[in-house]
Amino acid sequence: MNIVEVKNLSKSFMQGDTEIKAVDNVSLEIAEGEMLAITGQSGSGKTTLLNLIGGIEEATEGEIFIDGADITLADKDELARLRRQKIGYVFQDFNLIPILTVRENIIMPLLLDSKKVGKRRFKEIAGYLGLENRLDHLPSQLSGGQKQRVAIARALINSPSIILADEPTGNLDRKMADEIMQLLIGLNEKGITILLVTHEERYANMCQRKIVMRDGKATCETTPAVPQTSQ
Amino acid sequence: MSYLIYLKRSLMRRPKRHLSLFVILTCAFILPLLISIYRDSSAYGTEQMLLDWTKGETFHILNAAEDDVALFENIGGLSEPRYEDGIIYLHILSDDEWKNFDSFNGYGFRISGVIDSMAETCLTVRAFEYNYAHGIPDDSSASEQSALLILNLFIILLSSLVVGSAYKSHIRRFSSDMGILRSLGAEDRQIYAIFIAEFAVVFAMSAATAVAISAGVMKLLFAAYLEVDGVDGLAWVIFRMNPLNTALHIAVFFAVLLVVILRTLIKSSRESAVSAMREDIQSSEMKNKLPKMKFKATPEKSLASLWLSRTNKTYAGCLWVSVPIITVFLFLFGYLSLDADFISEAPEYELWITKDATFGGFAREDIDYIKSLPQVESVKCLRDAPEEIFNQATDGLMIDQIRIKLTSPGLHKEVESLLSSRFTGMEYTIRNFQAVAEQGAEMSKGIYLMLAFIFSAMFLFAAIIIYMKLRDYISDSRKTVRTLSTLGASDKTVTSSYLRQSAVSAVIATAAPAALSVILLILAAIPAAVKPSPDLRLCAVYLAVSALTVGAFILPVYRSVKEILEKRGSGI
Repeated sequence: MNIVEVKNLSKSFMQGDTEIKAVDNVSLEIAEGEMLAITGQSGSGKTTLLNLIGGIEEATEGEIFIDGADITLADKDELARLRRQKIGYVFQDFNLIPILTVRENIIMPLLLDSKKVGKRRFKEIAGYLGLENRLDHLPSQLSGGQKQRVAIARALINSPSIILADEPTGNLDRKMADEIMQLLIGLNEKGITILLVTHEERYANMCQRKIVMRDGKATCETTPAVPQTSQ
Repeated sequence: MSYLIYLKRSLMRRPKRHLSLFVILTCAFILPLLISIYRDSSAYGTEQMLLDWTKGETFHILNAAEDDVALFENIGGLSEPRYEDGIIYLHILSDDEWKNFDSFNGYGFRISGVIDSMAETCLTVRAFEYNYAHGIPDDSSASEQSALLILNLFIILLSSLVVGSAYKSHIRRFSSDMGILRSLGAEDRQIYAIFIAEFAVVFAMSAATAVAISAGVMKLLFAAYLEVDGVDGLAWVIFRMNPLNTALHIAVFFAVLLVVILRTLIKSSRESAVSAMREDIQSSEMKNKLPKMKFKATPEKSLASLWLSRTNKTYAGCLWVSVPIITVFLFLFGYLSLDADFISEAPEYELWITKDATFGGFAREDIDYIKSLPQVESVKCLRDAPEEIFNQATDGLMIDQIRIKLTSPGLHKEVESLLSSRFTGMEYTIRNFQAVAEQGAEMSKGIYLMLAFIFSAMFLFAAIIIYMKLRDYISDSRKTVRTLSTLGASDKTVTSSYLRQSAVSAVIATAAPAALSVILLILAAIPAAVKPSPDLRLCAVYLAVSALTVGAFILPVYRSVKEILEKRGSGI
C-alpha cells in the first residue's frame, strides 16, 4: 500500500518577471515501510518537493495523496493536523526550540495535539536515541549529533506514518552523519516509512530506492546496488 | 573616512531602525521642552505683571488730582512726581536706599506725613519694594521655577533611561556588525566612535525637530488659549522661550544619554566576537533553573504559559516604559482637569462692586438702582467683613460691597458697562467674575489641547519603544514560530499563544496606571483641600488610553507573528 502518492506535481516561483519552476511535473509513489532518497544538486528542487509533501508549501499544480487523502485540497488547519499526526520532520538545521529543554522539545508535538505523554513510549524513544542523560539540557548545550537525535526523537513521538528528513546529515561531521544515517535505517527496519533528501550519494545509496532531481524534474529512479546496512 | 562610509551605509541600510530612534528621541525631548517653555513663559509673565503693576516706581499715590502733584515735588532722595490717570508716581533715586528696609520705610513715612498734613484728603499711598518694581518675583515664584527645573532634570534622567533601553534594542540589531568589525581587528574605541557618531547625528536631528515642534505648538496654544496678560486673579503667562535654557536642556539630555549609551555599548562589547554574531539571543538570556512546562486545556494556553514563564523579559521592559508614562499622563489629566474646573467655575455672583470704606459705603438709592436693573436677578450686600452677610440693606448700616447675580451670565458686559457709567469715582471698584470665568474656560480648552499634545508625544514615545521591543521579541522567536508551525501547530494556535502572553502585560499596562494615578491624584488633592470624584471625562480618557495601550501591546505581536507565518514557505 502506498503512503504517499504524488501526481504531476509542480511548484513555480516568480523571480521578478521570470517564472522559476522549482518542481516540474513530478510523480512518485512511496510504499509503506519504504526508505526513499531524493538526491540532486543544490537548487534542483528536492527540498521544495519535500516541503510540498509535508504541506509546508503550496503546490502550483498536481496532487499529493497521503494515506489516500489529497492534501492539495486541504486548508491550513487540516494541513497542520496532518503534520501533527501523520508526519515527522527532521531538518538539516535541527529546528529545535531554543528555550525548551530536550525533554520539552521531544514532547512538543504531543502538547500541540493535546495528547498526554506516554511515559513508556517516551522512555523507549529517548533510550533508543541515547538521550537519557541529556533530557534537561537546552539545545545550546548539545553537540550537532545530539541535536539531530533530539529532532529524530521529536519526529517519532507522535508515531507518524512517515518521516520526512531534509539533509539530516548536512550540518554534521562524517562520524556523526554516519551515526544518524544508521539510526534512520534502524527506524526504517522497524517499519517506519522514511523520505530522505540528501545530496550525498553515499547516503542515498543506503536507501531502497532513490530519485535524482535536476532543474525541478525527477530525472531518473534507481534501486541502489549497495544494500542498506544497520549496526 | 572609513567611519563616514560605515555611518552612511549604516544609516541607509537600516533606515527604519534609525527612524524609530529618531522618533523616540524627538518624543523624549518634547515633555522637558514643554516644561522649559512653560517655565520661561511663567517667569516672563510674572516679570511683566510686576512691572505693569508697579510701573517701576516706589510709591503710587492713589485718588490724586493733578493739583496734588506740587505737594510731592522736591522731596530729597525721591524722583520728581509723575501724574497719570489719578495716580502720582515717585521712586527712590538711590537703588541702595531702595533696597535698604529702613531707608525704604523712612521715605514711606515722609510721603505719609505729606498726606497726613492735608486736611480732608482721600489720598492713599501704596509702596513697592525694589525687587517688585524691577520685575523680580518673590520667593514662591523662585521656588516654583526651581521646582520646575528639578522636575525637568528628573524627567530627563528617566527619559534617558527609557531611551537607553530602546537603544539597547537598537544596538542589538547591529551586534553582528559589531562582531564582524571586532573579528576584523577593530578596537572597542573605534567601534564606540562609530556608534556614538551615528547616535550624535540622530540626536541632533531629533533635538532640532523637537524644538521646532514644541515651540510651534506652544506658541499656537498660547496665542489661542493660554496667554494671560491683564486679568486679575490669574498668574500671567506670556509665551517666551529662553534660548539659553533650551540649549542647557539639550546639553544635559545629550550628556546623560551619552553616559547611558556608552554603558550599553561597553556592555555589548563584553560579548565575544562569536557570540555577538550569534543570532540565538533568547536562549542566551534563559535562566539556569527553568520553570516546568505545564500541559493546559488547550495547546494555545500551554504555549502561552510557556512563553510567560520563559520569555517574558521583554514584556517586563515594556511595562517599565508604559506604566510610568501612562500613570503620569492620567495623573496630569486628572490634576489639570481639577485646575481647569476651578478656573472656569461659574461664579455665584457675576459682578461685584466695592466702595472704599472711607467714603461711607453705598447709599440706599445705589442699591435700589442696581436692583431695578432688569438684567439683575438678586443682590447680596456685605459690610467690610465678608462673613457679615446681609440679605437686605438696612438704613444706618455701611454697605461696602454689593454682589450681583444676573438673570443670565451672558449679560455681564452689558451690566458692567451700566455700572461703570453710574459709579464713576475712584472709590468704586467693579470686578467682573464672569469675565474671569470665561477666560478660565477658554484657558481650560487650551489646557486640554496641551494635554492632548503631551499625551500624543508621550504615548508615541512609549508605543514606538514597545513596538520595537515586541517586534524584536517576535523576530527573535522566529525560529520557534516556524518550528511550531512545521510540527503541526495551526496558525491560530501559534498566534493566539503569543497574543495571550501579550494580553497579560496589556492588562497590567492598563490597570496599574489607573490605580497609581488615582492614588497620586488623591495625594495631590489633599493640600488643595479638593476632593477628586469619579468623572465622566476621566473615565472616557481612561478608556481611550486603555484601548490605545492594548493596541500597542497586541498589534506588533499580531503583525509580526502573521508576517513570520506568511513567509514560512520561503525557508524554515
